[in-house]
Amino acid sequence: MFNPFVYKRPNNLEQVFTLLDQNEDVKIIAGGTDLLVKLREADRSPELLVDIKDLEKLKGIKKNKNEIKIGALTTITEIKESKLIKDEFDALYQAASQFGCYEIRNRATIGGNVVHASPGAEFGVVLFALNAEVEVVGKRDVKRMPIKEFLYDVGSVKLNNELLKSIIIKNKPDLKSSYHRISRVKGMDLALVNAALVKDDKAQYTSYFGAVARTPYNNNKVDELLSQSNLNKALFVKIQKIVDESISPRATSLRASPEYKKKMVVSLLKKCLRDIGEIGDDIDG
Amino acid sequence: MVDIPQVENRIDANKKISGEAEFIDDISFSNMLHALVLRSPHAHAEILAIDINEVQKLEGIEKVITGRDIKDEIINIDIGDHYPLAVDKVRFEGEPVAVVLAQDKWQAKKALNSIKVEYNVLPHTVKAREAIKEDSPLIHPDQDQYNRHLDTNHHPNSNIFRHYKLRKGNIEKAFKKADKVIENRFDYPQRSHTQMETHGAIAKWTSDQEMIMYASTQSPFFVRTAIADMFKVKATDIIVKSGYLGGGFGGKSDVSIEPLTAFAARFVPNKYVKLKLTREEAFNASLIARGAEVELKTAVRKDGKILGEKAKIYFSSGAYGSTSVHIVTAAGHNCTGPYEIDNIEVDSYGVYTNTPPVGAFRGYGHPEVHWAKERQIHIIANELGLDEDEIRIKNMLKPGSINALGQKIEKENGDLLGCYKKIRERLDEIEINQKPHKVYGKGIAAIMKSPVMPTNSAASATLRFNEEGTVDIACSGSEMGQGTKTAMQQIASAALKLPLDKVKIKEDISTDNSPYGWQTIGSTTTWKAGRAIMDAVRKAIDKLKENASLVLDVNKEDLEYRGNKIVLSENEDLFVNTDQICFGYLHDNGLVKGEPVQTYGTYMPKGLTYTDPKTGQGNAAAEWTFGAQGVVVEIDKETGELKLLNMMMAIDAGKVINPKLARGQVIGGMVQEMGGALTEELRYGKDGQMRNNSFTDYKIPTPLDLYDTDFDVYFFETPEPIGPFGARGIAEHGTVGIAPAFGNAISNALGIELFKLPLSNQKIFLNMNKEGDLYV
Amino acid sequence: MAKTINTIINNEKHEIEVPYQMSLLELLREELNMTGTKEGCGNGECGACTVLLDDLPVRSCIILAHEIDQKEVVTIEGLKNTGDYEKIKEVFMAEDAVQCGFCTPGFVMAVKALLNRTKYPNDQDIKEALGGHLCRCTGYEAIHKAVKRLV
Ligand SMILES: Cc1cc2nc3c(=O)[nH]c(=O)nc-3n(C[C@H](O)[C@H](O)[C@H](O)COP(=O)(O)OP(=O)(O)OC[C@H]3O[C@@H](n4cnc5c(N)ncnc54)[C@H](O)[C@@H]3O)c2cc1C
Ligand code: FES
Ligand code: FES
Repeated sequence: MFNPFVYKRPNNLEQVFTLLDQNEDVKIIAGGTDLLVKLREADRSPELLVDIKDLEKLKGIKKNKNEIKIGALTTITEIKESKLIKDEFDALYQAASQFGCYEIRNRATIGGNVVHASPGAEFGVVLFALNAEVEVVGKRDVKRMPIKEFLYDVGSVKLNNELLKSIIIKNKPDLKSSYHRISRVKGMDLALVNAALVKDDKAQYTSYFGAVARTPYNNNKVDELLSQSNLNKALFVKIQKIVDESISPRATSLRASPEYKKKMVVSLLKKCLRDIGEIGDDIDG
Repeated sequence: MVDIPQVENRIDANKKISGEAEFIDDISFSNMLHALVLRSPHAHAEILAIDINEVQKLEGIEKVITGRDIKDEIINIDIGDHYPLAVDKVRFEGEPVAVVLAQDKWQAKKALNSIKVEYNVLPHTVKAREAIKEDSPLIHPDQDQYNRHLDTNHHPNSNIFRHYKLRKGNIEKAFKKADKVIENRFDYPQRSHTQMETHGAIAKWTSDQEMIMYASTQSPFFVRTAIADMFKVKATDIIVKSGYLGGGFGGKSDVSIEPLTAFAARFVPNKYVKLKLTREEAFNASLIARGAEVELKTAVRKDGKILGEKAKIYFSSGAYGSTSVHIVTAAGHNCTGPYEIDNIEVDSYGVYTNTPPVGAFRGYGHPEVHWAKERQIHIIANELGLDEDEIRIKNMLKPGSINALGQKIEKENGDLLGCYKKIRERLDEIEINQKPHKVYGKGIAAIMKSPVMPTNSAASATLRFNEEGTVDIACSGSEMGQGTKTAMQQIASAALKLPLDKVKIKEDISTDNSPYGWQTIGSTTTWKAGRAIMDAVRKAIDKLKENASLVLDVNKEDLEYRGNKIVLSENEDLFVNTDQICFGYLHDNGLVKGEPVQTYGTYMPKGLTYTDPKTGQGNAAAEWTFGAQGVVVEIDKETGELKLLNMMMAIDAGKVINPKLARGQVIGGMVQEMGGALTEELRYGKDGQMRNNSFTDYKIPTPLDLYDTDFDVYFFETPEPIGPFGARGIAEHGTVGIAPAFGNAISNALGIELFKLPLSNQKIFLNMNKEGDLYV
Repeated sequence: MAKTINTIINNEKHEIEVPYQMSLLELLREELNMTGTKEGCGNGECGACTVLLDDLPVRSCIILAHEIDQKEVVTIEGLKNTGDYEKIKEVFMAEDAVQCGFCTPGFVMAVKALLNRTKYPNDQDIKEALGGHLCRCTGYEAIHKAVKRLV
């Protein structure tokens, strides 16, 4: 049961911005899978919900020379079923496959996932690791910025009466990527820790980890070590040490303890490496 | 042996698949008011003031009710410690503080949000072990003065409201003779039933001071008695109806939200009031489950013989005690497991804590203590360097053994050894396909279970032949998915020797005209209501013969009942068809002979007694069921993630009435318990608030956790002398030994011993990577 | 506050005045008396409220009734006359995949949507279709067996 609000579903951007301008207490709704769950728990609702699902400009997955552009309103199912994505970005496909469940994926949008900015969100780590950019549309213009700048804290993104329009990823040939997560049950669950790993055409690694810090976490030293060393047991001991010393996940988390999360960072890293064929089954435990 | 006719489908399958089956929330009435409940945000606090003046005046609000409206309406089941709404004090987060009644639920919600309550927060405790300490806050400082229906042996000036003691043999001597004493503590934290349907009730008081209630209850008669007692009115003035339940598992037995609904409805006569819990409320404001810490100290001989056992069991029973008094008892006399131990000292405590009240949950005290006992046996075997099978078999209860209660075990109680060997054999047979980064373990546990119930917990049935020869039967026992009514149809059909389609079982219950039944719990329905049906059938056959004897003009004793006809034993050619006489025989000239056949059958457990207050022994368990369970697990060494490959049970069911339903019950129970074993635990924050009152963070097994699991269920059939055609209850037993089977499998896979449930990925991982054992 | 929406539910046109804050689940159950769709959590977590929205299975508890304006919804009540329904019913019965039955309409909708996507679902398809549905009674074995029979 939701507390009362007014609902509008404009079909062009101008109307959206007019509504945003005219109302103080207003919220955007896309798939609603975050927002409505939140509103159900809240004591009151915003006065106005603006549904953006009819905005065609925010939809679709397009390839544009060396870029792939994913509209903010693209659902997780559309991402999962896109051949383009599956061919180019394993990590995105894997994240989409492990996200929530089929019915949720049919509604949830990638834009909502990014804007909601929860620390263990499926797409946070993947898009950070892929060095994605975002397009933000306002009344006057469209801005482009790295996602790392856009999403700067838990639940916080740089939007000021603006919408997230799309997500842009450069696709380089020979790029390899992988995504893994740990959860409590194998059906629908949130990630206790998740990881995305990218190896680019110059054999440089980028790794990001979710639910261990306020935003997707990366450590340069880890990436450098991966890029420059032999991938053997000793290396992972070293990486574990770096991770242990550099992150301090929230101790009050219901889902997992800091101690476990730190270890899982390295375990997931190994799974990702194995996935893209960089290490074999001889390295374990 | 009798062949039980087999049905193709459970009788309610079609309605449930099509969505036609009506559950409580599918029922509504015009002019019905919604009840929304303001709940305590604190685990323990005094209510200083509640301001409802403004709220009362809001548009559309019919009535706001608070604890101040309570005169002496108390819920007095075993212990009179509970009001339907908090009076002056709240004892758990989620306890009802005020109720708003309105026709428009959004208006009600708005009103609810504007009620102001002033609290004085008190120190709280959510763990029994804390709550028994001397300096612990007293949750019921006046418990000495409470009305009790039975002596619970409470400890004055403490939070202990129930202390069950069991003493057998000479415990000190046994410990002196021991080669080794092994002591461990095992935790089974509180969890939630999480029936997929949350609790609901709809009540209306008429101007004749009669109350009609529709409720999602396993226990309509029990609810009737409790509500009548609460209002000091006659039970006949209270009518409780129940239909389909979206799962019960014990969490809809006794009473939960029904007294509050009845209380609220009393303020708005002639209007229906509906209270339906949200999922969050089902977690933190209905009954919860388990919550036991078990200390076992076992005296053993080198050869594995158990000489004696001391057990201390502490239940974190929540804020109110009535719903767990008997769980404490059941845990107490089952904590020895299915073993013959000559010297026993058990102290089982029910302890008030600031959590929702603990109530019955599938397994009723048994999974808690089997978690301890079957892990302990495994550990003893490791410590003595013996095989765990050898220890189990050496100590196992067998015909002639005396159990903890002092009852003699007979062959007819079932084939425990056979079940155990079957599971071991199956486990040995399974070949594991090893994968990289994984380790594997097989775990086993033996189990026993007895229902614990009031000595007079009766069941009954009515039977009516219709003109055409069909039969209508009604019996006590709620249908909550376990397929009771389907099994009853089969039992009735077998006993009446009539085809299934001639026998119809009434599905819903109304206390004003349905046959009486105590509660649908303890896996006793097939066994007890089935028995009542057999009694009704016996009487019906007698009546049919009487009618036939009038028609055929022979002695009743010389007739034989054959289902569709009644024949003269010595001359089969002389007979009359059942459908000709079941309503009285109509001669051509209009003359009627005999009477319509309608009978009533009953069953009352025989010879049950209360346990002796000093020794805790006595004939307190009406039947015993034995079995064994096993699991095979795969554990990811890098993450601790566990995958269930095989799950199995062998159980002596006495007689399987319906193999498909029986298998479904066993598997359903095992998987439900797997939740408790691996992921489920209610968690409380520093301030005593439940932190995981949603499916987001209370994780129950999902389809994908079981998609690749192979199940084996083996039924042994040693007839139970009282049960219908020899059948025993089996609906709960799947739960009993699953947690220790997992614990033992993990031990075998990794060489680590875990003592506290749930055995989460994290716990497994951190323990296997740690020197020594961790108690996390 | 309320406004009128136009929608097709189970092949029937509806023009209804609906409060903005009403969920699709509330609309179905409380206004239209289609109580076959169940509420198990209200939070998108259990699957009991699954319906088809423009052919895709979704969770009606976290969708606003107004979001179906100009769209088409199919609920369990609307499945009855489709061929797939009889097939699904048959396999659910054959394997006794129904105990209390509260989760069942949600599972049936999920399976119907699965059959809409593919005539011959494989293990991966079945896992995707059922993965987010909770059942507390059956332990899932019977449900899995039932759906595998469709293959
Ligand atoms: C049962 C369940 C399971 C879930 N499982 C997962 C999971 O496994 N992994 C995971 O990461 N998440 C999960 N989620 C969370 C949620 O589904 C995702 O975060 C989803 O991607 C949010 O998208 P949405 O379109 O539904 O967002 P909405 O709820 O519509 O919006 C979320 C927020 O973003 C804002 N917003 C949305 N789109 C835009 C835009 N284009 N421009 C500006 N602001 C915008 C909204 O105002 C709101 O504040 C789950 C949720 C549920 C209910
Ligand atoms: S009620 Fe909608 S998913 Fe549970
Ligand atoms: S059959 Fe009861 S929840 Fe699935």
